[in-house]
Amino acid sequence: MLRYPKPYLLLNSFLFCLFFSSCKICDYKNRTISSHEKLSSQHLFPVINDEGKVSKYKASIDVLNKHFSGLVIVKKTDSITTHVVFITELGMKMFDLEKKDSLFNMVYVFEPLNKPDLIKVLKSNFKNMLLMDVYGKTINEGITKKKEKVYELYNQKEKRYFVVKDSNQLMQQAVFFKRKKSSRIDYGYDSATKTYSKINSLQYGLIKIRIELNAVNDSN
Amino acid sequence: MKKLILLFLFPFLGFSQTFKAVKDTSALKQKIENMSKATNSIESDFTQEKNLSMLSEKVISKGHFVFKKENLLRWEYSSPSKYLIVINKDKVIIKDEKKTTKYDMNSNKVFKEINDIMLSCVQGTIFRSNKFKTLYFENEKFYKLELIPQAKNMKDTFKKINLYFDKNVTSVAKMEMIENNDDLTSLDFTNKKLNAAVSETIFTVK
Repeated sequence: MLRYPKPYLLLNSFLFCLFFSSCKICDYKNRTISSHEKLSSQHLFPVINDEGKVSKYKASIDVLNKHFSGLVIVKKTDSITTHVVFITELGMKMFDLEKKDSLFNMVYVFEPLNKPDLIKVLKSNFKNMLLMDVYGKTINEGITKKKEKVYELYNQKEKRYFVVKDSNQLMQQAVFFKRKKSSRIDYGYDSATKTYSKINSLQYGLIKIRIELNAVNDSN
Repeated sequence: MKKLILLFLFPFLGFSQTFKAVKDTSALKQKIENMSKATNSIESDFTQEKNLSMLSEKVISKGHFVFKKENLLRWEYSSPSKYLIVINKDKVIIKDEKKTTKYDMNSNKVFKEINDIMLSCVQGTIFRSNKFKTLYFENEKFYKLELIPQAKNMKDTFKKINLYFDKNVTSVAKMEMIENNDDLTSLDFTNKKLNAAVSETIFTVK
């Protein structure tokens, strides 16, 4: 049998404990302040512009040992429809995710990406990152262990936590599924442009996916 | 004011003027073959405009490319992202802001195809390919080759590719790729240098 030296085992156990203790659900909600409020832009500053102004992001997507880069274009085309389109630098459209009312549909996927599991992962990650399904839902407001304001949104087995600062600027979103952390999304807010300039998402689990979005200003 | 607007639009008017079918296609093919033979290197700036029909949005990218016979191409975007594709004989290197990836063309069919299309578009010799049916048009300023994909994988993506040559047939002036959903990507080539000395070191990436 393979034997590891004792210090190595101790170090491993310590790192293991540290990792799981840092991902616990109780880190996000330590104390509840109020319950049953409806989430609005007063609570969370939206990622998607409500007036139809386009948002463009340099995008980097790592999934299934493949690396993609290009531009993500987000636009609300009418009062109930929003499109999230990913194109490569060469101009090839890779996918077009449409949200109509509360339904999410891939209206176009480039054939090599047309795999059910991958489409599911892309849909759920972009939906979460861009806060496409949260407004109007019931939330609880609380305080994290680090004394930051947090909103809790839960739906059956899934719980989502939104850590905010300066009243409504989102800093981090954590998604738990059956009490296990399934993804973490970090946001960087730019007060000069009043937009989120960076959105980085990391999903754990069977299909790991890392998505990085960096806002492109017209002057870039 | 009207004169000023016309003066500004003048360089672009040729592309939109009505095109009619070329009568003597073999003479045009010969001109393109001669151009390809006479061209050992091309260096040019390019502006890529992607029109997303459903969003009524345009995405404009800018860059520079260098081609050297036989199989050397450096295709580099400078805005809005830095992105580089280098084709060096049977190797393809792609470098974005995060990662550099190298592919061997002999073991990757997709890159072999991309390589063939990019190099033959830059040289204008894509009409030789049996993967496209080619239609020939002209107006006062340009020849236009409409390439209709015949292979299934190309048909799934592109409705057609248009290549424009100036009337002297010295090089490709513009390229358009029209997807099945009517999204259009156009490439305009400016500040062209033909047959200038090009060092092979620019076709390597560290």
